[in-house]
Amino acid sequence: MAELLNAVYATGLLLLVAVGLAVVFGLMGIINLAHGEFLMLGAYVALAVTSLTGSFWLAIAAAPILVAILSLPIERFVMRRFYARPLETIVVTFGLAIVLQQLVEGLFGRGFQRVESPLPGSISFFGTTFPRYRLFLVMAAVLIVALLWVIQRHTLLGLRARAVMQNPELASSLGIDISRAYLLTFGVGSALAGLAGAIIAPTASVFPAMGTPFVVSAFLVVLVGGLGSLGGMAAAAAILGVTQTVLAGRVTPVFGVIGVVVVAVVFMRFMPDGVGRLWGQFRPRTGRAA
Amino acid sequence: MAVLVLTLAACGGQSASDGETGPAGTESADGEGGATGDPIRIGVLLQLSGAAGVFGPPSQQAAELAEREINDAGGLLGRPVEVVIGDDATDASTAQEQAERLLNQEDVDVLISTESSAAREAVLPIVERADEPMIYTPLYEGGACNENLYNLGEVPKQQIEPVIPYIQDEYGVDSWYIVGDDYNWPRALGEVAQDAVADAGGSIVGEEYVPLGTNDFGTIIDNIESSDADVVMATLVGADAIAFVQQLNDFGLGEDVRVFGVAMLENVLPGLGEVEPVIAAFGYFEELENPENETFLTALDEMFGQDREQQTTLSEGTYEGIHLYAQAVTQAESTETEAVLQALNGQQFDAPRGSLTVGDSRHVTQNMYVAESRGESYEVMHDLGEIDPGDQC
Repeated sequence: MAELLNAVYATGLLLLVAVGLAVVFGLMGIINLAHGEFLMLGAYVALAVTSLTGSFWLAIAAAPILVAILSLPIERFVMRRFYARPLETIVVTFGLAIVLQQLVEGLFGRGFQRVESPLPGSISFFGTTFPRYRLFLVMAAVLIVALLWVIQRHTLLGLRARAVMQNPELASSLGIDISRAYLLTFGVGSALAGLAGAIIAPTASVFPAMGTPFVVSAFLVVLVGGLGSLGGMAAAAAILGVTQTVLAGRVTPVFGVIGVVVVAVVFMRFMPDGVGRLWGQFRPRTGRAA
Repeated sequence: MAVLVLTLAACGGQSASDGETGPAGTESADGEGGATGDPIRIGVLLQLSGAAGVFGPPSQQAAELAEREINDAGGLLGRPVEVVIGDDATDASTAQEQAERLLNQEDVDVLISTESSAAREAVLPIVERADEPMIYTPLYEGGACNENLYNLGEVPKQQIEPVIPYIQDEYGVDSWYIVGDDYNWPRALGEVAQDAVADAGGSIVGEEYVPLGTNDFGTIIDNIESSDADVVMATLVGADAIAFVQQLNDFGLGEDVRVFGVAMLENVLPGLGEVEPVIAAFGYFEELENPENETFLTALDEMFGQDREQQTTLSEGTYEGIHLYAQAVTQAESTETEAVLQALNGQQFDAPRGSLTVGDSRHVTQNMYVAESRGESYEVMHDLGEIDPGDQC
């Protein structure tokens, strides 16, 4: 039972850190190495708002909004110039990551800081104990993904975003303002990263480099899931989360990490379009999908 | 990817020199001690940026204080001393570049290193080629025995062997679980703990190592719970240590399982929320009450005011390193490498951490203290007395 709960938590955590990247990388095709820094920014917003107002729930609301606002000039003045050049985005976002870390270091210092958990303590669950905040984190992750799915599939905004990402020229000729669509999509992706960072903050500690360890796993989840497929991403998070938990618990934690990479590579080899391909969904920008 | 980020970030961190690298002798003109002539230059390699960048600034302040104290007392051999700082950006290859710069361009007479073991190993060949003395100051896994090298930091024989029986007696625990980050220092300490726990009549019921940067300890905490361990020796560093202690408490095990945080320096405490006190054992805590420590902290307060950094065993080590070198030069009446290395052996210094004696195996006999965390600082609970580093070489 404890193993199951840990696997569920690992899955929730992966979903949470990957969901923003699923939009920025999955939909827009930007290899955003600064994804971890957007998470970190969300955590610092949570830190600032919590210490100013005393309310963590307000912080969770503020983090996506403030991080999205911050991302808009980044999209307008930096990212925009590199949409047709995916390789260059690697270098650009890599530099952006360093700049953001240094900025935060200058503003908040480089030390470890703490966001107090709004739900301390644990509950008993079929004979095992499980921290209440972990339960909240998993539910929040599921809710965020579900909400994003609804927006993507059932709103005009989602439809337009998908249209632009799939075929910008055609969308533009239909009267969609693609410049605005890119701006909004990048903003939504950044907001989701900021939200994730705020939610993660009370589980560990807040410091400028905190986002870095999350980036690799976020990319693995999106790649295994398949670009543009939220269902695939959820399945990928579960596959990788279970792999990690089972190997970490039964072999060693180091094997857990190795296992995740190995499983991801195997999936990418045999399902290059992602797990999401299995139940066929919209996929942007992949020549193979046609 | 994380490694890549650190390496590139390092490029920006050339040198945070303290602005005293002007023409030789300019500094001495202002020195109250009135020493003249070419300065004796002391190279200090620190982690001022990168992953362990929090540890550098307190060391830099301690180094600047030591420099001022020596100059105020008339310098060394009638010459002023000048500290030249290098920033290794928590990266072994940057450490090499900085060591090359200090030894070959800045012409320092000694290298004081408060860095990682990886940086020490990377820098040693350069020190040998330049044939200058090197003093490595932080706590480490022990056994570094290069001819040009002296070590001041706590070795496992000091930080683990006497502490384990003390914790067993004091807290009434005997069932140990070891959780560490997966690299050489935690693994070396794990081996020392095997014998120390056995000698103390306890048992080790589990031992696990996680990759650096681990942020979810749920599985390990379940294993700890089912092992019925009553004390954890955590050789986790930085954020990993915080995440582990935090989550152990979140899972409701904080009261039943004590944590001995072997690498939990003062800087991690602000990252912890309301958790059960953590046990630490180092050779220095800011809270120590002795005249040398009072003088040390007061002098730092006067020199840096509001910007004074919290001192830890690492930064106090940098301060000792410079003073021990100065004593050795005074005794040898020379900065010549062979003479200084010989003079270092047997040096005694009343440091803020207590009395130190440099022994034959080029390591240091020093006091060890056990402390408990109280919010964002430590309370020193017990003085284990002077502990011999044993035969390290």
